Amino acid sequence: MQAGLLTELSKLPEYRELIVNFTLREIKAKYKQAFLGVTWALIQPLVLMGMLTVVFSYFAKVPSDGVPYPLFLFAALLPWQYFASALNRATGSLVNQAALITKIYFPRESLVLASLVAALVDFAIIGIVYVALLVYYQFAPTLTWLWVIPIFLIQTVFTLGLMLYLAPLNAMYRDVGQAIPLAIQVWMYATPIMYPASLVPAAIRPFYFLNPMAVIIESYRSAMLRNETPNLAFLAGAAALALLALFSGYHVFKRLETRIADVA
Amino acid sequence: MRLERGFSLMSSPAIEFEGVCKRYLIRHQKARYLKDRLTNAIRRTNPFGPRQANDTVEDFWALKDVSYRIQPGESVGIIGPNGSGKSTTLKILAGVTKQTSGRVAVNGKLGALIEVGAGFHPELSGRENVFLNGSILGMKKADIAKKFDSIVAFAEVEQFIDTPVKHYSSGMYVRLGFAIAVHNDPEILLIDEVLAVGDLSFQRKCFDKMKELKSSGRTIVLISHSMGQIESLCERAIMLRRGQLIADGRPREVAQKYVELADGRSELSEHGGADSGISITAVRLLDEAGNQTTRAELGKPLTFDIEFDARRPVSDVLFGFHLDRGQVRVYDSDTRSLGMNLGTLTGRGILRCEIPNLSLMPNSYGVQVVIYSADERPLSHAKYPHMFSIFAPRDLRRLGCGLDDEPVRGFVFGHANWRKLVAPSSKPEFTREIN
Repeated sequence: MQAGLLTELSKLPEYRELIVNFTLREIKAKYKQAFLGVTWALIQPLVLMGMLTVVFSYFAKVPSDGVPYPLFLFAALLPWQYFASALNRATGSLVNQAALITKIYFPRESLVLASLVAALVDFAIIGIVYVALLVYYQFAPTLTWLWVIPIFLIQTVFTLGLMLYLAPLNAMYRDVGQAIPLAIQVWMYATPIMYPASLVPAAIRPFYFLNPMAVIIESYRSAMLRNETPNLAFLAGAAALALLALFSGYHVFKRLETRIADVA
Repeated sequence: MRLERGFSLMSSPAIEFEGVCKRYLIRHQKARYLKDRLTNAIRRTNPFGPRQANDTVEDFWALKDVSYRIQPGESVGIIGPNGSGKSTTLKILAGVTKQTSGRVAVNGKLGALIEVGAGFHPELSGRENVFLNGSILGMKKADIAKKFDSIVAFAEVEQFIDTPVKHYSSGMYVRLGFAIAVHNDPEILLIDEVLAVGDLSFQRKCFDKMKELKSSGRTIVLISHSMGQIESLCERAIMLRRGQLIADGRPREVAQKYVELADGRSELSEHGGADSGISITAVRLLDEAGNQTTRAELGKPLTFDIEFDARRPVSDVLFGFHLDRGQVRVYDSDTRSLGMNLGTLTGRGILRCEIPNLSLMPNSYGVQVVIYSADERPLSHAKYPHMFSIFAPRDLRRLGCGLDDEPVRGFVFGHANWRKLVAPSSKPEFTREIN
């Protein structure tokens, strides 16, 4: 009865329109009555960047791998915000639609996927700012930048896997919704975003890189800022974990799916 | 996106329920938290710990071994009091939840009309919501675009189609939701009491649309409290009570049973124990021919027979008679206020109560009869929470939805003479005449 992930993926185009519509709803509804509209997607990370630059670069003099701190920060902060906003959205994706879920059948994955796409759209908008920063600092891309593509894919697979866990689990236990913002904050400090990974004491570094997000973020920096090939062993480990998260997350999602309407 | 489940075969029924059971686990409040799950899990692994003191999970069977088949083109009403399993049936049919055991087959494209507008987002415009809701129901964008004008026209919201739906009236909300759902061209249409909302003219329109779908051979499943809706739209009714199927047949026959059974066993209770000497054994509503009935036409005289048994001679008792609707007492009468002396009652007997001109509004009514001693101590009490229903005669069809049994909020139908007068030009004066 439980269809495999691959057959399910092959059905994606069938409910593509539904995902698009759910995504549009999330984006449109968010900015509809705001005077500044979509500009908010830019303002938030920009303010955060300014704040963190002042505190970490100007006050605390945190080293930044030899590149301007804003560039250094954004290379990690932007993918991190994509990750964090996707998880936050996923947590509420089913619960906020309880009225719909308890009444109409439609593929429930579409709500989770719409959360992912909505987070991606925000990511794409702020990505433009990053390009502007690169132009401003006259930072030219190199061939190692191509690594960004597989790193991004690994990150997305990992993110989606976690989203598939969080959405139904929060429907069953609202504790999840309470814990996630806190967990994301703790996780953010355990990941080299505001500081370089080189600041992490060598003794704990092997443990530090058990965190797949640390590997992913550090890989972005290697490829984009240091023109290095990322640590492929670590990256392979992160990829394996990402796939594990996706398959097991999908399994959990499918198992809990039919029970959501009974408890939501 | 696919809403069809199973395969369409010419001969197979549109809907098949076979021994369907649905169990809900009722967790008593606390156990919903993760903490309790964890502490329970720890206790289970700890052989010295108390045995699952917090385990407050209770079974609730929303459906118990329910079986029926609905053939393509049939229109079936599912009726039952609250908690009878109607909504669970609907959720299983819509694929929202799964049965605990048994088999469910749905053959054909299903269109669910369940709390219309559930998929609307208040911040989005009517136009945006039409496309959103349509795609939730499984319609393709091109298909929605093609039917867009027709949807908007049906919903009568042309002027407001680009206004956020949060500014819509509840009637507009419902109209738009219904319009989208019926334009989805379902082979099987599930309808959940949508007619209960919206204004009268739109209710009519929805009702006509459902009739149209029905006559074009669609299977219709209507879930409703209102026997009136079911009688006028369906040729078959299935009645559920406490999760079990208790009647399946022609709506008229099932309606009879509904009124008898709708959480309505009679409650006969004795006061003052065996020495009260007299008890009520039955109360019946009679039709014009003197046979027991459960339906009466608005405005017609109501005749009740109260059967009593005086085990020893009792003198100077009085009978109180009340009609209730839900928790509200609608009518009161007793033998003493009306100056009737019953003298001494012995053995079995019948007291007839005729109410000549009480025009109760169409709805379901309960009856209570109390026998009091001379010093007004209650001796015997009979209570029938749902004894009969009043239906509207043909010439008063516009009451409610225009359907015979449609429940009406008011209690008493007042016959009145309405006249249009020409107001005198000098000073305004309110003139009216009422019988």
